[in-house]
Amino acid sequence: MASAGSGDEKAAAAAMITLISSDNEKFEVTEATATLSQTIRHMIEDGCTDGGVPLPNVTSKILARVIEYCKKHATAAAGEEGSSSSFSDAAFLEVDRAFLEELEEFDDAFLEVDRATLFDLILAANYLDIKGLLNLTCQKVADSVKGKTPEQIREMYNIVNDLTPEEEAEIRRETQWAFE
Amino acid sequence: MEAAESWVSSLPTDLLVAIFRRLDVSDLIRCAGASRLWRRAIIGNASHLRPRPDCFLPDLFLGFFHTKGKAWLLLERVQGRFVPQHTFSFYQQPPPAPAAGDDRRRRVVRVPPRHNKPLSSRDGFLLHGGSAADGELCLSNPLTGGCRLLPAAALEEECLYALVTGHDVVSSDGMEEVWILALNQWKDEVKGGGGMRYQVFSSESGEWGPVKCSPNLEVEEGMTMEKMYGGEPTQLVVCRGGAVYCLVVFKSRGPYDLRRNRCVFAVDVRTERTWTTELPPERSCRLDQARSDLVLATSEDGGLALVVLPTRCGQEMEAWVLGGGGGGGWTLRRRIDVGNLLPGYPNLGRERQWLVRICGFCPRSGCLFGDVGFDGEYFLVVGVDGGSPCLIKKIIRGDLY
Repeated sequence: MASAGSGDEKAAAAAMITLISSDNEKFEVTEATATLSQTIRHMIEDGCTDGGVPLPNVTSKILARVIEYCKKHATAAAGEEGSSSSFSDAAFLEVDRAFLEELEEFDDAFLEVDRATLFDLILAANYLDIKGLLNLTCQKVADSVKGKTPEQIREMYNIVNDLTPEEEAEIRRETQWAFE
Repeated sequence: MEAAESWVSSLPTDLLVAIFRRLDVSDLIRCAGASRLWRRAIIGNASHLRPRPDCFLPDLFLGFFHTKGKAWLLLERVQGRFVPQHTFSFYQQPPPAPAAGDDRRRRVVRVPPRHNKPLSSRDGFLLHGGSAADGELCLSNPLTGGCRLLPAAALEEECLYALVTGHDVVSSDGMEEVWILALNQWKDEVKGGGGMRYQVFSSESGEWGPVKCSPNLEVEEGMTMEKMYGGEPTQLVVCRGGAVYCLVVFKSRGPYDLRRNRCVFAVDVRTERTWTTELPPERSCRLDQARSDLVLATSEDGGLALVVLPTRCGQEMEAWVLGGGGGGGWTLRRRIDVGNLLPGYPNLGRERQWLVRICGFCPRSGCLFGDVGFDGEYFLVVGVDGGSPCLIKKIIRGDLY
């Protein structure tokens, strides 16, 4: 079976890649989906994906979410490529916009997770080098601290306040709210 | 929750930075106040967080910004009115315009939106007012989120405000104590001349004291007060001990006498005592009123300093310190040859005029900042007490005047 992808058949076999999570669960994905991850893309290019790609830093729960994201965005990418030449400009823009809107909705829904999952997704996106996912998740965290005071940020992320009152006063003094 | 905690403490710095660079300055400063780890990540990576090299000066403090020569605090127009934003975007590209009705556009400090005019800032406190504020001022601390409304000063006409905090007053028990000085001038319609009028608010008493007036000011025989110099909030400086200083201009009584003279006027916010101090010899008179050539600042030990700007090419910038070196008078602390800092000068033609415009002073770092160059093409940071002056080429040219 291991020889199935060898020789001229390779292209026809719609190359499937097996990803193995840290808790040993196997996920079959298409090459188009997997190559959204630069890390896996390089592995494929180096030809070392036979027998599956072990991902010791990613749990099955997180990997499933990451694959969900990659599948959606890989389809989107393929759709764009396919449509770009065959539609007239106006029609193409229309399709394109609907597509982007749908993708945005997907992203918003995708980010409706608890904080721990969100953080794990950031780590996984970083490890797998998936730019879009990393942007998306980092932006989500950034948005969540916007307009919050240090106290509220600490509360939200369970951060222990290790600053002494003197240091806090110091930070406040450093902050010149310069104006015109 | 435990997972979240372990994540925050184990997150690699580069990922923290990846998140922080999506924040604007005021949010970044608040994050820097959340924990040591975050603070270290932000300060240690300040250079990665800046969107343009001329916009961010990590040596001064976080969130020090510059666009087009001024606008340290950006006011953003939201639904027809300006809202204090304190920010310059930290995005590498201009931030995408938020969709209509996006709440993010209206977040930031919870200063009521009608208080849309920044009046003064010090030690993390901000004082806002505005024409729509119905005679109310808003004293806020953007870091802690605290915000307090108080009535405006009872001075007739417009006035300048200066904030003095517990840090300025050595003997103060509470660091959270705040005084507000409101200052304007009065004119003697009968005798000519005039003086300064002031009122002090103390956070301890929670109210404004009585309006007081200085006597009719006169520097020498026949020279009476004409006006405050400059009249911008940045021209009030606060010295150690809680005294607020400003420059005032005097003119001769004689009808054909165009002489002008200048001196420093001071109010101690705690005792409400006032006094005037003469400037270093030969630095007080100037006939040419076209450009400002004097800037008040403070020295390292919190004493009063005066910076004399060059008004012609070839002149040097001078920094004088009051009471430096033990004596009570002015001491010349340093001279800076700004022309020499400019690349290509003097070979680029002595006839080309370069100019210096100081737009502010950072008391924490003891640095003045402003624009310099033939066309304001450099950003200048210069310390009163020492240190190498720093010249940063602007990517976008600022307005010099």
